[in-house]
Amino acid sequence: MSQEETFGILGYAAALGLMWGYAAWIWLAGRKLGRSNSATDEHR
Amino acid sequence: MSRTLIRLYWLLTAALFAGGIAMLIAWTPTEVTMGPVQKIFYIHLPAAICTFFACLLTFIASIGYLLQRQRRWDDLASASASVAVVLASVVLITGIIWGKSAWGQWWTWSPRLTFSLILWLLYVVYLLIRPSIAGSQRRAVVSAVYGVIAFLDVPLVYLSVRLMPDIHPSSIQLAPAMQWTLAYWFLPVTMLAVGLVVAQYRLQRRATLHSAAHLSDYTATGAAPAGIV
Repeated sequence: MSQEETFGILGYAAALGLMWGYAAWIWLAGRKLGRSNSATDEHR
Repeated sequence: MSRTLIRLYWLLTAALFAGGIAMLIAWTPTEVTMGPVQKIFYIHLPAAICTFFACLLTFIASIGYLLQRQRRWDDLASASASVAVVLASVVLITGIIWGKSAWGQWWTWSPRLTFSLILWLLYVVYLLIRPSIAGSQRRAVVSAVYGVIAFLDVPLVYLSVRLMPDIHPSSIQLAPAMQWTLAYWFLPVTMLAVGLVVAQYRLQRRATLHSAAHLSDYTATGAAPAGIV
């Protein structure tokens, strides 16, 4: 594999990893908050 | 919005990304001078445009908060600022890789690159200072003023290559197949950017209402404190 190809693949991997990684983080944070809300409701 | 629709939206976005990658591998011609690394441009430009719009949304929401003092504006401003940081990071990373192949160096302090780095830093600082400000209303006011001022860098990024001598290209001539690829890539990147802003905003709203519910446990009426929504 040439250096240009490697750089191209690295660039796309980094870009897609960042954007989709952030989407996954939001999803996980939403789930965590949902669990926290349920615990609060039960406490009440 | 129903969960099924949201899932469909994300599935469609992922499918469009997969289609875009397949397009790059199988259909888009390889540029003669730079080779395969030139294809980074197809994600770099849409990410840059979406960064501008995310910053614009922060700017509008900040003004909205200063005018109406409703927490939903502050939630929208911080959600779009978060997305702006992610997208600006994509722009910087892909730009650095592209620059190494085009100019032979990872970084140069040209006006476009410098203002782009400043833009990224401005919104990173926006997100970093928020937790350190005590009091939700004070935090929202300081963030809103900062959000308005930070946006001033966006026109500088855009105009820098037109008004000042710069190594960064101001326009690029593309073959028709390359133009189609670029046009296509705007779709998944924009859909992802919109999805991220909406998802982050919904998360912020839930967190705000969650903390408001906590606070209302301690009030006699059970109502959320003024300005919280």
